[in-house]
Amino acid sequence: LTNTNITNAQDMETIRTLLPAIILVLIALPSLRILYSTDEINNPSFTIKSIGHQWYWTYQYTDYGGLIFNSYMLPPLFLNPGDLRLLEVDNLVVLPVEAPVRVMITSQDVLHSWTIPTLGLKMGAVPGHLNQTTFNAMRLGVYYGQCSEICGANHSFMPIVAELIP
Amino acid sequence: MLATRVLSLVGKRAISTSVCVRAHESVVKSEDFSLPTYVDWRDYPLPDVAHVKHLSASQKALREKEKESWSSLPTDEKVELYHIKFGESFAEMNRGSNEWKTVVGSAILFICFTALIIMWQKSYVYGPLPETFDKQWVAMETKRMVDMKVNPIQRLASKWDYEKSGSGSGVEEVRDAALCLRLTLSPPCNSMPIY
Repeated sequence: LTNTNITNAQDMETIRTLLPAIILVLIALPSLRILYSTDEINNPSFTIKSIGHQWYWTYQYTDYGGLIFNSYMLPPLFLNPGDLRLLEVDNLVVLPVEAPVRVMITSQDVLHSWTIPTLGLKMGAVPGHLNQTTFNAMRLGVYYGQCSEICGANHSFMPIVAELIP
Repeated sequence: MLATRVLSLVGKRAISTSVCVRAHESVVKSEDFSLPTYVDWRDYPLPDVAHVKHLSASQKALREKEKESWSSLPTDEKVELYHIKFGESFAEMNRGSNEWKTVVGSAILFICFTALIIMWQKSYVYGPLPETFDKQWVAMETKRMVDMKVNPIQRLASKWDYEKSGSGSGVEEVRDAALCLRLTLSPPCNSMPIY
């Protein structure tokens, strides 16, 4: 470690430390800007609230009147033939297609996560905190999801079903 | 201690712990990796000490004979001289063994035992599958998934021919066709239990 061939190159060491640092900062700043810009919400035409409980979801449609309902998983005994076990609910969320929809998500008790993978949605439901996600679906249909944050004994049994209608 | 007393004629300072141990041939004291040992290792070809520490009379005679021309030594004496210095030859220390059969056999035995436990569990511990795994139900379910266009780009609905199927055939045939399609998918994509 005292060989003069590997000591006393302070100029080069300074340059080779500062230059990469500058390059990284130049990469990071636009990257952060882009990251936050993907969160931009552009004039949603419809807003619903989704509140997680142990172990069901409550949906509130407050834009036009005050519709509030709970969404519980259908137990296997209550299924109709051909239904999807552990995915069907008694009251599903009905949302418009081809319109920007905003979903405000929170929780009443413990952490949950409101997820619909086929719509590319996943947002944590944090008690005392309000999260927001938007989407603009192009296809009609019924979309299924499941709670994605461990929340107790029946974490696997609180699905989310969204029906997108024109 | 006895060695110390016996050799006290030489002087107490000449006695060391290692001499004590070597004289007593590993009676307690520090017989661990702090002393040179003999090993038969192929990646340590020249061990630190000779294999035979104390030569018998015949071995001593042989060592004297070794000082003369080696061409006069017969083969068995050469081998004996070798075995004074080394325990096993390279061929002997590198020999294969049948241990692998024991190892493989034991592993297979335990795997089979585990399989027996799993079969016992399936028969006596697990309850029946829910009715949603019945063939009829799965057929109806798959038809519904096809109608909903689940996975339209890969897998399920992408493999369904929407023009051909459903026109002219009965409900049951369509459901069976849907079930066949689902079974062509590999587990776990088809969500069917494997046992």
